[in-house]
Amino acid sequence: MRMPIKVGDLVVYFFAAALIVVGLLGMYVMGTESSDKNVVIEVKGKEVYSCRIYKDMAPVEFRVDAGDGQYNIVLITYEEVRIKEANCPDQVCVKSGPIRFAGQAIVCLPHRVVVKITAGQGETPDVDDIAS
Amino acid sequence: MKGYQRICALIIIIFLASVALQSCARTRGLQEYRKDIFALDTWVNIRIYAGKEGPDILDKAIRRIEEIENRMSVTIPDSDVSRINSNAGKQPVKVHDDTFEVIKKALEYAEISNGAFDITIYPIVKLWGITSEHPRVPSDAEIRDKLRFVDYRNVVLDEDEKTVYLKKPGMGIDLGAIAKGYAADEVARILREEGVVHALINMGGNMVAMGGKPNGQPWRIGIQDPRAEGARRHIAVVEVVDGSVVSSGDYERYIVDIYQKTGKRYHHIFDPSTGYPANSGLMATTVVAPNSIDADALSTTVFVMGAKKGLELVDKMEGIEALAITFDKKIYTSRGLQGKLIVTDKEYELQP
Amino acid sequence: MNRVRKMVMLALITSQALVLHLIEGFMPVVAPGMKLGLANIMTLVSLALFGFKEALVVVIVRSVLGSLLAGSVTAMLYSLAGGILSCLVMAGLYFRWKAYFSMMGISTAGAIFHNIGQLVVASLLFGTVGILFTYLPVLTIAAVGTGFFIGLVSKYIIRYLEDQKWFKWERG
Repeated sequence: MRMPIKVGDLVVYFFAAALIVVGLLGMYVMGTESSDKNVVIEVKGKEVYSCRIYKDMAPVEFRVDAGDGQYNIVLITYEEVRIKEANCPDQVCVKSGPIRFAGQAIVCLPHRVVVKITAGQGETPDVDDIAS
Repeated sequence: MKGYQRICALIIIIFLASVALQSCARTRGLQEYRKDIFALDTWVNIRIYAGKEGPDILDKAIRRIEEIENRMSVTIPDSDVSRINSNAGKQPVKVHDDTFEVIKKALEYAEISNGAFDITIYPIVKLWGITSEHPRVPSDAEIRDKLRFVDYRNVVLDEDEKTVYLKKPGMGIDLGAIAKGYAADEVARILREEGVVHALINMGGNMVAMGGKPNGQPWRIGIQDPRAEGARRHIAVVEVVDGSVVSSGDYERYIVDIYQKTGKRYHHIFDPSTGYPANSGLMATTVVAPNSIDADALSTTVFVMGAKKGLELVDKMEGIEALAITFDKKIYTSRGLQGKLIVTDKEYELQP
Repeated sequence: MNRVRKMVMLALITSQALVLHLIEGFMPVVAPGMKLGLANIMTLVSLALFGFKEALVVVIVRSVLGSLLAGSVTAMLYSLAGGILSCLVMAGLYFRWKAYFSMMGISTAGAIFHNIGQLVVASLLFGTVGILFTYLPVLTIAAVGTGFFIGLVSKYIIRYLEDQKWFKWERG
């Protein structure tokens, strides 16, 4: 049994290699691997939670309350952010797996929940909370 | 061919197993658990680092807050405070130990501050109704009339019987300026008993830091910008390990007089000597103390007393620090806070 | 082949594509968008045995029905964008430069463009280009592997079907 590799196939593999390089370059250019990142969670367009991701941070498990008993449990670690559990009908947010870089987001359409990673602004010293 | 199939099966099994195991790998060690609820007329947010029992610990803390609210709220009809108020001038009321302790502490602060902090301000609070649905600016005569009932010396405590008695009919107490601090301390106590080492409690802006952050750094607590108009923005940062930070200010709850077109801001912190919102030249104060009940009471006290007198009072107290922000955006601090406060907003000027 | 028979054949292929699409939904997700692309087998089969238009119909019907049966509106968008783009590319390669490509090469190209279609929709939906770049490398590597496998399977299915007497007869 012979599996002939034809000229065109090589073109396809070359194209694939080029795409990989373009993707890596794009990631580099956009500075998405900047170490200073924030996680922002929004429900119906309103920010309900935000936190900074830093090395040695303890994993955060945040339960997003989307109203009417709807929830999404978000697990935030230094390496990645993902939705661990949710009671949405399609489970797309759970299945879509983790996100890692600034600019990425997990969306739960039925609950209108957005979990996104944003690039942190390095200058202003962050606070854990505000005494008001 | 058979060997080939076996290898394929093996690869598939390894693949499936690794996917299944992936979800278990990240659950060991401490995790952050958070809880947000509305209690004591404000948002309460508790953040703890714990193992799997985290949610149960949070529930326990929340139950305690609700217990305190049911005893100390002036709006709940059968709370200790409501019963004390409705029996003013009639008879002493037996109260729960919690309530007794808080009132006792409040009277201590009244004594120390020479009446600048006074829980018997309730008739004035009710008159203005700034936190109610129908706030209004009352007349001088009305205020003078209600001011007769404001005097902490007319609160009689019976230590043995745990009773509280208001001498004059028409008197009333409001623990709003101290109950949140007490509740925050109680939450911290429960968390500590449950073995929690790192936690951050936000009781409507009353911050309690337990330990430092899990990574060993201190908690960084922002001081609210008093002119952010509802936005959460900080102008300075204090770093805290085991302690409470509480701010008070004219920005928290206020009404703007549109009827007399003065545009004057009437806020919710009253000066017990005048019956008007405290006008000591301050927009906000912040107190850092080991216990939240002290920080809570003192932030109001300093706000009423003003920067100079208030900070002098704080300087006399061991382990307690404070800052005061004046209308011209100058920040005055107590001696111990100098050099520890990080001002992040250039509009605000730290005074030596 | 008369119209009714062709329609029945296409319906059979579509329903098989649909079943494969659904089976894939049960598989664990390694990374978002990373899939075997089993349904692509049927796209290739219909391309080879019927033609471009027929294959496109199979892809669209499979995407819409598959998303209605298990999925959401966004899943349908992803599926359609990826499916149509990959179908276009594969048809182009198959009918123009068949001599230069093996089935595996065509299938791999299809898989790569399936990803590109999905990623473009994703970055439009999220309003960030970041997603495109971050997933491109991983998904492309996966596409090379799955594309080869899918191409191999398709090749044998097509060869088998073409060898069948009844099918030859059907084709006329």
